[in-house]
Amino acid sequence: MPPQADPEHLRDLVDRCRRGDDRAFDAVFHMFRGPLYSYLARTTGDRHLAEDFLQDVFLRMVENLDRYEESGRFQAWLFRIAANRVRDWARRRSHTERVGGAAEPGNPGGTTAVDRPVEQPPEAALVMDEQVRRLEAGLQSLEADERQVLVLRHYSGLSFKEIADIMGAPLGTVLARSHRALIKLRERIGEPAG
Amino acid sequence: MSACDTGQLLLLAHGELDPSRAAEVEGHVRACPACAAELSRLRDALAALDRLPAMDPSAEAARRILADGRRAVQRRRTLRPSFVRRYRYALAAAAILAAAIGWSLIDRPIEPTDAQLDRLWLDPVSDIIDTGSLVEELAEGHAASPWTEAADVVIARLGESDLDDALLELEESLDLLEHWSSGS
Repeated sequence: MPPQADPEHLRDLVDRCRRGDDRAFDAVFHMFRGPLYSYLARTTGDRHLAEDFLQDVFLRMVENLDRYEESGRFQAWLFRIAANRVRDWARRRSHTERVGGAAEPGNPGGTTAVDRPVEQPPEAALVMDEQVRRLEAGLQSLEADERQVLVLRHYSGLSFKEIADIMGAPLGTVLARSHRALIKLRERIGEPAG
Repeated sequence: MSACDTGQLLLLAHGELDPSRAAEVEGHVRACPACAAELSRLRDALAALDRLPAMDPSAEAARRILADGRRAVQRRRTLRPSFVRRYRYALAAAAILAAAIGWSLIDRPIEPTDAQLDRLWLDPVSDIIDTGSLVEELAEGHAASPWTEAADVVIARLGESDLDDALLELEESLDLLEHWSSGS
């Protein structure tokens, strides 16, 4: 999980954003862009789409700052916005694919773009060690809903109960998906990368 | 925890159990080799996730998102709804006065470009004011009449529906005037 921001500092930044301080926005952006983008890119499997979603998330953050009640859980609130964005996108994709009726070539399960490997920039790929490559491959080999729970829990600081609320799924289902995902990941990082 | 429960193990591994419940599950794990092995596998996988490198948007996307976000935040400064609506006339008058003072403090020839003039807040009222003449008058220190006229028009417009945009334009104009007067 990414390091947590100092709560007092973060509270001050949020308050300044509310008052229209764009420098405070810069600080919030730099604080959360990495974890948010990592979540969005690893969940959607599409860097460009993740950039568009990241833009949406920060704009929605600004628009909804008055609705945020200070609870010391700003990061969770921000990720809730991101997760809702991903959920809406996944539902639309799912609907489109049902209407279209076609599974993607080479993808007989008919799973969505979240199952495609995240493109890595060449320079990052060069330095990525074997273990991390296995990890990325293992992550992308998971079912979309398993990966979504796993990545969201890892980056967001949201509890499983909060994730269940966002996904509209029972807590037990979310726990089961996460458990399956972790066990599969544990097995796959022990195998040679494919 | 009297029976094996992977959900409880998962919550324990993530630190989501309250202390008394955590102690109960840990007690079970100590007595159950299968759950101990399962918890170990879960913790291994979680530790592996921590090794995933952070990803960043492209520099171009980051710039775009920052620019859009800043604009959205700046609009909040201008557009705090209850305050703005309550004091809209005073705000408009203050903005105009501040702009006029800014102009009066400029002690060198003013030669804004056409593009700058296009951005000047007087655009909304240019249908009744000759902007070029106003700039000349302002530069010569004879600004009273046009500014008064501009104030009347802007305040009248603030009474219309597009209050937010009008105030935003005023603020952008003040920024522009400040930019000019600083000699940039």
